[in-house]
Amino acid sequence: MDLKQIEKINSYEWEINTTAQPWMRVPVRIFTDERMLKAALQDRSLEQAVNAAALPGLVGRVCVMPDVHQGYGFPIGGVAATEEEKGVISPGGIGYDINCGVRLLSSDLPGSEAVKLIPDLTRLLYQACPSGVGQKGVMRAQEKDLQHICEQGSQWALKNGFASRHDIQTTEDGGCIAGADWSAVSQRARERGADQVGSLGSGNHFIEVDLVEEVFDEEAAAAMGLYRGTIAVQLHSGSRGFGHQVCTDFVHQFQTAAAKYHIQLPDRELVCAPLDSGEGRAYLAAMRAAANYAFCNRQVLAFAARQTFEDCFPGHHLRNVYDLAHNIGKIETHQVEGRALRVCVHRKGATRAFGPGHADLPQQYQKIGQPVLVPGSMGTSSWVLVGTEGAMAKSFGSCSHGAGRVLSRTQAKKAVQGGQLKNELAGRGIFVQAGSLRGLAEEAPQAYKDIDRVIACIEGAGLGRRVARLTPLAVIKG
Amino acid sequence: MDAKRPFSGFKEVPHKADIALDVFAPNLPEMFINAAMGLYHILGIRKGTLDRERLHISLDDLDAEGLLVAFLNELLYRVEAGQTGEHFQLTIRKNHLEGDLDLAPVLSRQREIKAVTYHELDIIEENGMFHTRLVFDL
Repeated sequence: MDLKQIEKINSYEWEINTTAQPWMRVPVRIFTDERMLKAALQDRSLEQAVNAAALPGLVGRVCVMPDVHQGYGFPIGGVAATEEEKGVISPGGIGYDINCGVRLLSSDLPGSEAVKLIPDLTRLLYQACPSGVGQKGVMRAQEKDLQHICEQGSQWALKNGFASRHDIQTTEDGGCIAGADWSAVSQRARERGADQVGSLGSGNHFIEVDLVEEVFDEEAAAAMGLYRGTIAVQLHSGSRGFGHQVCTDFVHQFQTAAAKYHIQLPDRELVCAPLDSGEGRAYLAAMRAAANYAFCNRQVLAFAARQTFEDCFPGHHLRNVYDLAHNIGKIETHQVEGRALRVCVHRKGATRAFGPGHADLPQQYQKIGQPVLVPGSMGTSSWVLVGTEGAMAKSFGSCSHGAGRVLSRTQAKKAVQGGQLKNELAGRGIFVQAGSLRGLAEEAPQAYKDIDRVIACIEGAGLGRRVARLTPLAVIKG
Repeated sequence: MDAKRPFSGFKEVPHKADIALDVFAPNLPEMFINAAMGLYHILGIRKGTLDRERLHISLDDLDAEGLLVAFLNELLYRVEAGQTGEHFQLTIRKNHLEGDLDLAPVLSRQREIKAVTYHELDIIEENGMFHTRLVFDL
């Protein structure tokens, strides 16, 4: 893939038309600026987007977000919508960490009051929120509880004292996607999920204590409980081994389904089955179970974080701003070529970004639009945006999920030494608690794109609008 | 085939977000075993010496590539359950694998692998050598 194959629509939108490869059913629309587009051409992410354009039943276009980077099958930062009636669902287009997502909690605690206790808070959060390779969760779920978690998501947490009604209202889909089916989940997934509820995991998962550094839209920020100079907390985790196993099971099963339905694809990782088939329905039901597991996992982690915060800072409360998914397949209604169409939106490393007035948003966000959480890399800003009508029209109501990698893990480890990075961040007032210095180096800020530039592209393309910028005070990595 | 490539083994190759391995061997069973060693290498496993048990596995798949992914996912599942494999004896015929291995307890590991992917997976046989590239989701 080279720049000559890409048409410039405007400064923030680019298109690869369907003549680029014979299998393309729809064009690929890239939301980025010229500099980041050229950078994206250095890896295979755009070829992967072109491959994703082969899925049967696609409508509109495959969308590529400014934080795009090379994945497997789909690129990370890819969005594709298939018609519910005639289209397919692709487990690889959602990813192994089903409903990996982010939660933001706000507080009224001024940063100036908190700063001396930040290292203590971080150490206590590290104790209270299990993180790292193979770590078990806050609780071990018995089989019946695990079934209820998969069917009810965060509603289970509400019934069992781990959530408030406000938490549920301010979680995507109320923390529970209807249509989950426990019987579609394998025994292996059940085994792997039993002891990981309320665990962060490793890799790029994190808890971050932030300062609300800047507010750009006071009305929207106030609706979210975000005020300049106060403390906020972000959580990034997913469905853990449970979701990994569900995806593994179905990518394997779909290898034969693709042949059965005569679906030819340029990459086996894109395997899919018709939504209206036994295989498609079974995956959708199991994927929803894993999504609900992830909602509940983040809710239980948030509960542990909230208790720790409130023990550390009596009289101050952590209030849920929003919790959203960025690896998910959702049946939604979108306007496609002038008509309302039910589609399955595959978001892989992309966040939902519904605009104001959407029926799926809670009352408090009806006027401003959905909060969109875009974490930066460790040591850089994170952003809070709101979804827009532009996102609804251009990207199936979707937006970037983060900064996006520019260095491989190997390159990052060569460029950065974990211990040195920890000291450098400490020198900038960022306290780091990490399970592995190697893991820390792999997630170094240098390994990621400039988040501020990503945000400028999102705004430039009209996919989101800035509300607030957060800067990190402490980071917990597994 | 590049003359610099090792005759039999694995080599980590750069991948933007995840980890990829090139795996080489003079025959298919050895390539599967090398891929297993590569998987354990990425995971950074330290194994114990006690409580060993012998495991027999039997797998069928559409083709050799599918069989390789199924085999590695089987090992990954065992690692999640706290067991690592060694002393592999594999036979592979017509997309069917029969294997015996010793299971040892995992004392610690440094990394989590979410899954073994099929991404552009192709086992190439060339001049009596087998070669493939595997991408692991981290």
